[in-house]
Amino acid sequence: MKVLSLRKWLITIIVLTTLLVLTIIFCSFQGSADVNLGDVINIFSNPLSQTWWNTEAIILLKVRLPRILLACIVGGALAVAGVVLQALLRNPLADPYILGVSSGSALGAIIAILLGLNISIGLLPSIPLFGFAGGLLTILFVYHISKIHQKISVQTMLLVGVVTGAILAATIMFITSIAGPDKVHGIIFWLMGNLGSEEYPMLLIVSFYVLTGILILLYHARGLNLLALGEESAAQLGLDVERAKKVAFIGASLITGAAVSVSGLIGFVGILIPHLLRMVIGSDHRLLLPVAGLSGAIYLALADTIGRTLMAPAEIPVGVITAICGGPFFIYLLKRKKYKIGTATI
Amino acid sequence: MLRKSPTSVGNPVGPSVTISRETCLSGVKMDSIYEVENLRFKYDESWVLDGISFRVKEGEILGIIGPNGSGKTTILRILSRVVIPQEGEVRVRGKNLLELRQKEIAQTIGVVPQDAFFPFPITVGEVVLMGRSPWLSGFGFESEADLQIASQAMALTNTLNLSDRLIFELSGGERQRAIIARALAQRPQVMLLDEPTAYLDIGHQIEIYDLVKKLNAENRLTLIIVSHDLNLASEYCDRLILLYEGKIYRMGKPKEVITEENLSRVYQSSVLVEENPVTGAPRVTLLSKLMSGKYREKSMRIHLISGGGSGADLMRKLIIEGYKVTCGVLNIGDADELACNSLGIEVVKEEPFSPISAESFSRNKTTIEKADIVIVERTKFGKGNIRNLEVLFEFPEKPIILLENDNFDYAGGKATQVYEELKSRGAAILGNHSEIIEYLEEVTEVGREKIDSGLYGRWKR
Repeated sequence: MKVLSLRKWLITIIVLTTLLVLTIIFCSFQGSADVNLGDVINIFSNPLSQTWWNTEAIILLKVRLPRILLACIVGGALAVAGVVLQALLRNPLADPYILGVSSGSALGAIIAILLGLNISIGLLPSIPLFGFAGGLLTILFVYHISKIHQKISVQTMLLVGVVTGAILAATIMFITSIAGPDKVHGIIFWLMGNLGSEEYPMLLIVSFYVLTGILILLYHARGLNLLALGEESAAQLGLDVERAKKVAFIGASLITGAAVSVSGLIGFVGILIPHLLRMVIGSDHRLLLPVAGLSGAIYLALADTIGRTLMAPAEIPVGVITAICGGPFFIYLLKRKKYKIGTATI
Repeated sequence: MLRKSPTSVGNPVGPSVTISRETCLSGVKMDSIYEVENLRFKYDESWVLDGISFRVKEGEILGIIGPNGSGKTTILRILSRVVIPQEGEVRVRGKNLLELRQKEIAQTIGVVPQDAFFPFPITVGEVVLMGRSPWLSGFGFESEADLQIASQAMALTNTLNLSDRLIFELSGGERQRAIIARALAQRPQVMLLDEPTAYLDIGHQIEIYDLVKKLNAENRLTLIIVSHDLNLASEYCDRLILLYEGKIYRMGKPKEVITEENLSRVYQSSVLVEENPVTGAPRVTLLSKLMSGKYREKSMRIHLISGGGSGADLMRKLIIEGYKVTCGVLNIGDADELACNSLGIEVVKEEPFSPISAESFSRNKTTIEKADIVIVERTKFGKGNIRNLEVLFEFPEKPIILLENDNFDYAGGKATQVYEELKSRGAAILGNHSEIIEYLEEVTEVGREKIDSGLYGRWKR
């Protein structure tokens, strides 16, 4: 009988983490400016030494590395959120954006752009903060409306989330249509998804935030296994169903909100990675969740690197890369492995 | 009452009773697993359950039957605390269900739903292992002991060879057994099954019920089964609860609960309850509603003369049409006599293999006296039963229907003589059962005189 053991879990996680580190290092070499190995080693061993603060170091540390790390955080967050929501909604089509949080974050950020609030509040830029506030409000709204007699109704939540997302998306379209030409560019650029805009303070906060969220969700991974069976069965197998639903919804939504606030709407990560991984490692969330996080990080870091190097100096939006590369590959795997979703064979 | 995961495997699937018995409250009947008192429950407006009380004894198989909407599945959901009743109390091993934590409930009660749903590809082994969830905590991985328990559960349900297959790929029966294995892996003290054989063919149905019986006998597992299948329920359950309009209509052994009276009232249908010749358990046959409409209408009494199995078919048809039927004289053990017994028909009996005595002859006379009409089936008549025909001479005014008969005289010509005599006196001669039924209907409608005058409708001579 195939079963998940601690040993298998540790080995997988360690291998993937190593892969992630290697990816980060690899990606930091890629780019239009030349950075050689000697410089890199020196920089990493003596980051604070002033003598090495030449152009290459600056590029690496201040431009590329934050970008790569942000890609990792956002990729991991979206992949994990996708896994969690698919379990919560018991629907293989669910992705992190389905419940409207992303639209709320987008709206918040766009309002900030519109109002020209390109300032910093303390060390933190205001656009992501507004984005995050927007996401938070959306979460509260959807959560509140989905409660029936103190219990969360998953079907209601799905409908409310989708409708709320649609309304918010319409609002965004409206704003875009009445905004001045200078603002429009900023808005569209933000919406397309961009990983290059953050600096370390924001990065650190988002990382801390997302990692905490992922760890909390990881603790409830077994609960997600049970939730996928249906609420009644899950309860009959000992799960505190209401608590599990709350944690899943709030956790997934918050990390999505955070991700979207700093990077815009990057698609195809949250729906692709969960399914790709399920085909390979199965549906046990204790393994699927952390692997999704690490894989999502690797995936997005690579996609972003391709985006900024393929047609340098121009930048292909990362969302395009994720769709173009991920989509066909997914269909190929689907056909090869005869993946079964629900009761149908695809 | 939270029990730690057993580190030794011990008894394959028996519940870990020792700990819970020690920690049970004193003064509680140790042999009751469940005590349900005055349960009232509603989903929206009307009470689905309206005052239900019962006890479930340890080690018994209890069946819950009743019409759709009578609250059967609701009871199971209340017993596993998926829903909470507005009124009433449920105690498991003496402790109030509401006071237990979700995990404790899952360690005590295993539920087998009607049709489990799996949105993602998952193997049978993984499904069964989920049954160990109530015994795991936090992020934990399953231990060796857990794996062994799951394997044993699969061995008991004959699903061990399926453990690496995807649950989608299994047939209905295999999937149901896998779900039962999952419930068994919980090492529960009591198992609740909701229509476990609803989607299964008869082979699989028997498989599941035999498994259930085995688990009960060998592992002392208490079982509560909700079922629509009255025959299976009567076969395999020790006790039955018949639900009707939210209340317990009858509770007791299958023979006490499954009766024509109870079932026809509760299911608003005509049923026939006989004894299963192989097992002795009550066996239910459904009678069409179309016919049962007439069931209450007819008051005509028909006396049927038959024997040797010739009358069973017509008996049934007359009963379905709603007539009151009597028979006589029949020897005990004769196929027609057995048919009368299971149909509940009044019959004048004679000793096995004996000719008709004076005593039974006179009883037969009394019976025929009360009949409105006599029908003589295509029976063979010999010395033993010729008096069944001869008795008709005592009733010159009684309408008689003879079925066309030949090669029936084994009484040295006497039977043919009687037949000719009856015909000359005006007995109606019909060819088959449909004609008989039609004739009887018309007699009821337009009266005997018209028919007998030979001038009415198709009976014109």
